[in-house]
Order: sequence, then C-alpha cells, then structure tokens
Amino acid sequence: MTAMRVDAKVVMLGKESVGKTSLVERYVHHRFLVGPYQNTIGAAFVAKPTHVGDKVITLGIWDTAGSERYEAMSRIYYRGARAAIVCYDLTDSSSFQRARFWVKELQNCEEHCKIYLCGTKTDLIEADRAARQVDYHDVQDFADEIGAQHFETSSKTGNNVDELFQKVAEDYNSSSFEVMPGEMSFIQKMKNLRLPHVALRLH
Amino acid sequence: MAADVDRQLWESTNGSLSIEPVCSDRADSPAPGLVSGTEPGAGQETAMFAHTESFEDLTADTEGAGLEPQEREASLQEGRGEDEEEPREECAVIGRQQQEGGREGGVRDKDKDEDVTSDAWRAHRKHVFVLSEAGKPIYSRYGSEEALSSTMGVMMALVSFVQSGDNTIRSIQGDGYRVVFLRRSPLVLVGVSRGSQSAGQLLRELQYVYLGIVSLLSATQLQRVFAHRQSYDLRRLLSGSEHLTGSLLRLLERDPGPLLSAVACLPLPGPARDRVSACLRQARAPPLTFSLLLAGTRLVSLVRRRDLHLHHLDLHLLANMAASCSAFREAEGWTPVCLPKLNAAGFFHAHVSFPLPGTPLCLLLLSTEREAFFELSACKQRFLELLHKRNALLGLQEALSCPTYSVALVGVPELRHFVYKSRSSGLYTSPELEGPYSSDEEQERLMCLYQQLHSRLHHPTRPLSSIYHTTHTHNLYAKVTSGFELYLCFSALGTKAIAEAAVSKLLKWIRKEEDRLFILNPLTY
Amino acid sequence: MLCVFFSPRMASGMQEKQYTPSLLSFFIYNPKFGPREGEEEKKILFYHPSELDKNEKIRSVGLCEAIVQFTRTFCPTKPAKSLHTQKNRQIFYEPEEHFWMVMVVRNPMIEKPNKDGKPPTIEYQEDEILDSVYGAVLQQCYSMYKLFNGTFGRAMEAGGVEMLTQKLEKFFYRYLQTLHLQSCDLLDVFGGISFFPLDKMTYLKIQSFVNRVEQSLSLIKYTAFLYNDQLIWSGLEQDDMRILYKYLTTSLFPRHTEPELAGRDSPLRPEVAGNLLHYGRFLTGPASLKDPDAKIRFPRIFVNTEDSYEELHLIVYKAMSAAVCFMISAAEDLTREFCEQLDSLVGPQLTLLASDICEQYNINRRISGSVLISLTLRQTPRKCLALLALLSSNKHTIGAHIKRNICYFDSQRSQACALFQYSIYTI
Repeated sequence: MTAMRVDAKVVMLGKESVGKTSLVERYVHHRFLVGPYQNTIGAAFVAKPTHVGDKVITLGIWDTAGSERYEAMSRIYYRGARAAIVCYDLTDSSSFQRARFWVKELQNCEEHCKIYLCGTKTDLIEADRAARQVDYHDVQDFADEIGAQHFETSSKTGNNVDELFQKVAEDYNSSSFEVMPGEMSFIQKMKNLRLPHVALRLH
Repeated sequence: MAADVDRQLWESTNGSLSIEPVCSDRADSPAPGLVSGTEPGAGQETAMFAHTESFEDLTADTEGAGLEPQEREASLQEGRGEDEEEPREECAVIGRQQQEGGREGGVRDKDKDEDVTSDAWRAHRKHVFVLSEAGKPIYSRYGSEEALSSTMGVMMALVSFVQSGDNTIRSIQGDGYRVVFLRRSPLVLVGVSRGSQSAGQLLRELQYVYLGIVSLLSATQLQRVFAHRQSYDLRRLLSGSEHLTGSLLRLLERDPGPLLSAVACLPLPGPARDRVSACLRQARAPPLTFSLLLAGTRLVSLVRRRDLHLHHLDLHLLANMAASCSAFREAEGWTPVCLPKLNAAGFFHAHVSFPLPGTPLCLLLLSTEREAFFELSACKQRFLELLHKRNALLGLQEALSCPTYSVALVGVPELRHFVYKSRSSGLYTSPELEGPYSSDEEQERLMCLYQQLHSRLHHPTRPLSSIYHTTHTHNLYAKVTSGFELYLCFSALGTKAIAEAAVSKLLKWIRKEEDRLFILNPLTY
Repeated sequence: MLCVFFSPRMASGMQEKQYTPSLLSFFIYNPKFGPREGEEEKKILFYHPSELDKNEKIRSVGLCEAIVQFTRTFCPTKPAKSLHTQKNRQIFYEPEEHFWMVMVVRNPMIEKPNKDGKPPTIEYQEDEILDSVYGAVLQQCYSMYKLFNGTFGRAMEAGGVEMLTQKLEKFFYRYLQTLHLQSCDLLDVFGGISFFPLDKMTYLKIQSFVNRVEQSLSLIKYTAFLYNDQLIWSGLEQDDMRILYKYLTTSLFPRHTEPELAGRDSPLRPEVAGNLLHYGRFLTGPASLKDPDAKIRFPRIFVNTEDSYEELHLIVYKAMSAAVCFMISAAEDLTREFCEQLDSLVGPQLTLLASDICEQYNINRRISGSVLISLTLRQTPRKCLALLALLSSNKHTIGAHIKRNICYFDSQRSQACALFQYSIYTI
C-alpha cells in the first residue's frame, strides 16, 4: 500500500456548496452525511479503484473548494487532469454560471481534459418541481456544444452518482490508448517539479 | 542573584526564539517560587513554541513580513493576471446560498436566517462583526450580513468619527453589556458581549478572529485586495469560512489554551509519546517544516525544523481549521494556510489527514511547497507504517480513547477543576470538566471565571501575583510566578487555606505525572 | 482645573509630566428639540465650555446620539453608559426621559520628553479611571441641580426651553467649577452619609428637642440634625437627605468657618460677642438679624420629586458643632419675626445640646477606658490647626500632640494639604 498508484486524475470543480464533497463521499463511501454544512478548505484528495471490464482503474479524485479564495490554487488541481466533473446545483442558477466559467477555464488551460457537467440535488427537484432553476435541455445543448457529458445526480439518494464516475473511468480506459507517447504520469510530473528550497527568515 | 540570571535567560528566549537548554534540577516537590525552566512541565530540550506572553502578543501589531520575498511565490495570487479579474467579476459569488442538498438543519443557516431585530438575536451572549474600512459587512456571527449592513455602517461611522478627532474608539459600556472595537487595517472588528467578560478578553477574541482571516488570505493578500479597490466585498474571498470563524469563537469560549497562550497535550506515557515522535521524525521529507499530531486541540507530538518555532496562536488556528472541514475526514486535505504569527505575508501548504479512522487523531504536515502533496502523502503513509512496525499504535490508541483525566486523581479535597501552565514550555494541563461542569453552559461559566481571574492577574497597569475569588458556588484561586500560572476551582466549601495548601500538593502531583501530561522531549528534524 | 506636577522620576534632567484627569466638556441635550436637519443646535440645552464652536458642539452631541442609538440595536431598554476612547472617556446619563447629560473626561496622561527637540510623547493611561466614579459624579451633578432647581421637566412646564436653559446656565456655570474631577474616588460612588455615634439618652434628648421645635413652630415640615458634619437625625427621605448632606458637608459648612474656633477678638464671632445667651446663628438666610435692612431670604430646595414634588425653604442653623436644618414649605412667607422666634427658641437649647453631646461623647470614651484617638485628617493646614486648638481646649482632653506633620502634595486632591496624625488622650 506504500505507493499510491493513480491512473487518472479527476478534478471536481464548481461553485461552493453545490455538493462536490457529498458527491465524492457518496461515490467513495456509499453514504450521505447529514449535519451542518462544512465548506471544504483547499482541496481533498482520495484514490478510488474501480472496475472497467476486467481492468482496475484507480481514479485520483481532487475535491476542490468552491470558494473564490482558492481559485488561483485550482490550477494545480486540474493541471494534467484527465477528467473534470464540473458541478452545479440544479436549484441555483448562479451555480451554472459558475460552471460555465470553469468550462472556459478548462478549455483554455487543459485541452486534454474531458469535461463532465454534473447537476446535483435531483432529490430536491423531485420533491418540488418548482425548485429547478437550471433547465435540463439548456445544459444538454451546452454539453453538446463543448463536447461534454451531462449527468443529473443526487448524492442523497445516490441517483446517477456511480454511473457518472463509472463513465469517467470507462472513458479514461478507452482513451488511454490514444495518449500521446512520452507524456509523463502525473506523479512523475509532481516528483520532478520541486520548487527551489525556500529559506525562511525569522522575525 | 540566581533568580536574576534565570530571568535574563527567560527574557532572552522571548527575543531570539532559540534558547539554550535550561539546566534544571527537577525537584520532586517543586516549591511555588521556582523559576522558569524548572517548573513541572518545562521541556528538557529546546522550547517547542515561540515564546510570547499573552498580552504583548495580542496588543502588538507585529504581523510583519517574515519570509524572504521569494516566499511569496507560494501565495495564492501567484500567476494570476489582472485581466483575469473580469470573468470572475461576472460570476461573482455573493449571495448566501442554500445549504447543500439535503443537509438539513445546518447551524450556519439557522444563524444566518435569524431576524436581526428579534429579542432572540439580541440575547446572544456574544456577537462578532467584521467589516471593511469602507463599512462593508464581511462577517456577522448571527444574522445575515445584508440585514446588518446598516448597523455595520454605523459601526464604521463611529470608528471614523472618533478617528477624525485624532483619537481612537475603544469600547462602549452599557448596563450588562459592552461593545469593543478593534481596528486592524484594512479591517474593523466589533465584538458585543453580555456579562462580565472584560474588554481585554473580548479584544483578544477579536484579535483571534482577525488572525483567523489572515490565516486564510495572508496579510499581504488582504492588504492588496483593498489597496486595489477600497470597496471590495471581501466575502467573495472569505465565502465558506464562516463556520471556521464560528468554531474558532466557540473554541475561544471553551478552551483555556487561547486564554493562557498555551497548548494542551494529550496525556500519553512518556515512552509511548517518544516512540510516536520518533516515528513522526523518521517519516520526514525534505519539504517539511512542521509535522503535528493532534487529537482535537490537544497536541500529541510536534516535530519542527530546527530553525522554526510554531506559535501557539498559529497552532490553535491550525487545529481549528483541521477540525472544521468534513472533507478532510475521509480524504487527504491539501490547503494553503498562512501562519500569521510565523509569517503573515506568505502561505504554508498543509497536508491534513485523519490517519486512524474513528479517532480524532489528525496529522498535519506543513510545507512551503505547493506541489509537495504527494511527497507529504507518502510521509503520512510512512508514518503509519512506522507506527505499526514499532508497536507505537496501541499506546496511542489507548491514549486517544481516554483523552482526559479526572481531577480526583490529584487528591485535593474540594478541588473541582484546575488549569496549570508551564510558562517555559508554553504547555498547559487541565483535568476533564466533570460533575457540575458537564453542561456547555457551566463550562462557559467556568471559563468566564478563569477569564476574570486572568484579567486581574495580567492587568496592564496593576498586575497581581495571586488572587482568591469567592462566589456563592465557587472558590477560585489563581497564582502566577515566573515559572507557572495556575488556576484552581474549588467547591463552595473550599477555603483560602485549602487553596494555598493545594498549590504545593498539585505541583507535586504534576511533577510526578509530567512526562505523561507534557511533552518533555520535543524533537526537530 | 488643569493640574500639573512633577513626578520624582526625572531621568537625566528630563522631566516627565503627569496630568490628572480633567473635565473636557459637559453638556445637556434633548434629541427631541431639534429633530430636523439644520436645527441641531436647538437640542443643546447647556454646553461647557460655552465658547466652543457651534459646529463642534453639534458634532459632539451627534456622536452621543449615534452611540445611544447604536447600542439600542443590542439592548433597546438599556442604552450606552459610557464611551471609552484612547484619549478620553464620555459618560452618558439620562436622568429624565430624552434629557441626556454627558461628561467628557480626559484620561490621565504622562508626557515624556523626547531628545533632539522632538515633540514629547504622550501616553494616555486609559485604565486609570473608573466609569463608576464618574458615573456617580454625573448623577450627583443632576441630583444637586434637582435639589435646588427641581426637575428639568418642571422647568419646561413653567417656562419652556428658555427657562430651563437659564436655570442650567446659572447652576452649572458655578457648580462645574467646584467639580474636582482629579480628586474623585470611590467614596463618590457610595455617596454615603456619615452618622454620628451616640448613646441612647443623648439621642432621645435630640429627638425630643426636634419634636419640641416642630411643635412650637408648626410651619416646619422636616428637620435634620447634624453634629460635627455627621448626621444624627433626619425626617427627609434617604435619597433627598443624601444629596442635602453632600451639599451641607462639601459646600455650606466649609464656607462658614467655625467662629468658635476663631480667637475671642476675631471679627468672625460678632454674634457671639454680642449675645452671651447662646452660640446659635443662621448659616442660610439673614447674615444678621440685627440689621433691619437685611433681606429674609432662604434657599429653596426640591424634595420628593418622584411623587409629591415639594418645594421648601432651607434654614440651616448652627450652634457650635451642632447644626439643624429646618425645612418649611415654600408657599409660606418667612418673616423676620419668625426668624427671631426661631433664633430665640432654638439658639439656647441647641447650644446646651451641643455641649451635652460633646460631653456625652467624651464620657462614653472615658467609660471604655482611656482611649487613644488617632486621626488621620486630610485638611488644609489652617483647618487642622484650628481643630487641634478646639480639641486641646476640651476639658476631657488631657493631652494631644501631633505625631507627624508633613506638608505634602496630594495628587488626589491636587492641592497643598497637610497630613496630621495626632493623638488625643482623654480622661
């Protein structure tokens, strides 16, 4: 268990409190925590092996904080990512605006990163149709336009969550043959990237 | 004479932050008059923390730039061009959003939805507000910032009005409440507290809140955003940090650590702790500056780079941050964090993990390199393997299952609770809050009493060396010497004679238990 | 009112100057009187110092209003009591609805000279003054005003804002000069009355004296009896007595030096010289009954302002160390005849009573054995010497000597004082 073998880097992006952490929690631990909402600080990393056919693919998932505070940091999380799950809250139209921002950002900086648009909290929509603020077809059109996949999920009920991540893993598996030769694995990159040691001065 | 020499030693440690080991004859029956460095709980090696006494600490404005300029590379703003401002402007995140789907009854939302003209809102024991110098709301502990924007506008008007007379507003006293103002440009903090809390204590808490904000943004970034635009809405950058501030305020109300400028340790037998510390050191990696093992706010072990000292205040901020993010529980966290007392200008990068599921044990690995995540993740893995290999795990798990001890162990009649701080090590110990103090309300009341005693002992112009305070339910005794600071709480049956006699008995007991209650052998990489 | 003295710490010839707290301003306003913009000046009923720029006055009142309004956000029923700033402290008091009295006190400070001709550094000692002390002083200001003028509300009813501002001006102009802020201390918070210890018999004698006088002179509504500046008997409500006592002991009595203590030929005792029957004299009202042109006028006081709201004549009559206050409804006209009647009735009896009390007091001392009375008095040297003379002449005093006589500068009182600690041996 010493070396963390990660096949595909997956980054979760989206406005704060859309439910990125809950999505990861549901997928990795098959549960939904009820309790006071706690914003993610910085980012959290978790590795999850999953089966694609007879192969095991390990997804290295970066659950990033939605706050603007960490925006500048987000580049290090999506750099070299094979997949980005861009989340928005189906009951909050501004969160979809934010999702568009992330898509633009990814298109500019990470052309090899596949984008998955993920609407969250379908359970709230099911409870009250009027709560929906983001139209399914609008998003679908947008997804087609940018060549992205589109899912609507609920971390509370588990609806569509496994399917989303399964799709991510499968897409990775089928595309991994296409990867340009010579591209370093992410970890390798990380290891080679050592900033000059910084001297700390006391005051 | 001897005392003078020791005093100089003590003072020099304040200045240079690197002290020579104090040669100490560790008396078994320490006399209350003993000097710094020989009191129970004093570290045998070099000091673990930056030595700073509470008062200078919180009144001084010295969160200066400590690191070399290149350290700023680690700043959040790196690589961000000015032109990037625009797209973010369009999708500015402002409104308080609904809670995450299905997470019912979030504390934050309940507080935020409160009607700010209701009696319930007014009845809160302590309000804290943060605003910008343009009078824009940044944070309110209760009620939404929008609803309070006019109130905060008035606060800023009062601050500026008094300032315009070349004066500084300090506080407003009312019947049974007080309002305290703290200006930390570019922010203004206002605290409103009911009850007997002194203005100084409230000021300390505001200072913590301010430093909590600095820990998220760094002083440099804070200055920069407001230099760029005075009317900047800081909530954009702070969004999602409200619960951090909220839990920090709760910590300040419950935990004697911030009050005493000290850190508590998880009780752990000396050899077991040494084993854990050795594993922690063994698992190091080049980019590490600090490795911390915490159980809640209690320190289990700390290994640091030889030339760096962690400030207790920074440690409290770190502990609060680690405990306030559910995403860290199951995954490995990686976040930039500023340690305002060590260096308010730049960021460290913290790897946060909870390596023993089901326990509050939290491993914090701090580095100055923002890309060191996997390296530190490997450190964590190595540390866990070493714990297994060296059989250090069992002792640690046992200690985690009983993180406190009963005051009855001390064997002092009528003693209900105490707090003992070793001044040279910056560590304190305190038994479990049991019996009458099991409710939150009673715990806060006791803390309030300790705060009152602390205010009297450390009065800016008339400090005391000891104080005895009687209420109809308690008898309290507090004492401060060059070596230690002690607060004792007795039942209503206690007397001053009992209290005075208890001091030496307690010191003797702490001496006996010191290798379990304190970290006597702090390590460096 | 500014007081400067030099602390003994003088480093290399450089002097550190210490400044005691001082009154910066004192004002009374009613926010209802100028609610519209541009009319703010109308809110101000009294402002000291009066020569301050109008806009400055309006600004200070505005700040107080803002603070009071602001604190209502958190506690609608109990608005602010004080504002602490680096340089000063402001005390707020609302004695009657919407009438606010504000006192601004400059914090004590130390001026430290700098080398190289730089301006001196000023350090404000913010923690050195207590809200409770200055709060009590401010309340006392109001009580004293009310004792002699009645409530603000009554003045408004009688003559509108104009009359109120006149009354305030007249009263506070003088009163503020007597306010020694630097010497205020915890005793002001208590605002207590000192009672004279007395045996039962003498006490009964005093009570029957009061009853007799009240019976003979039925105009008298209330009586208070004091000895040696200490209270023995009072028919007034405690709160009214407290402020009256304060007035008597800090203002009226000190203004009338004891003629008994003056030399036989001193011009201070013309009354006594002429009338060998008694030592009685009026401390308020006519200076001399023999002068046919002297006006018979006594100060008016207001008591029970909460309910019956009584306006009274205050007659203070004294013989030796015994003083009696007689209070008579202001509706009554006090004539020369009445005064003469009172003088002839009370004068001889009070003189007797005064020496009785003195004797009794000393006998009680003697019963409990020869007692050493040690006093530490903080008085002006003149008064101390006079007191000592009085004590030495007492027949029961067998010896008295001054143990210590240090002229010193009292920082609290900021006036030259002599500290006498002397011992008196009685038989």
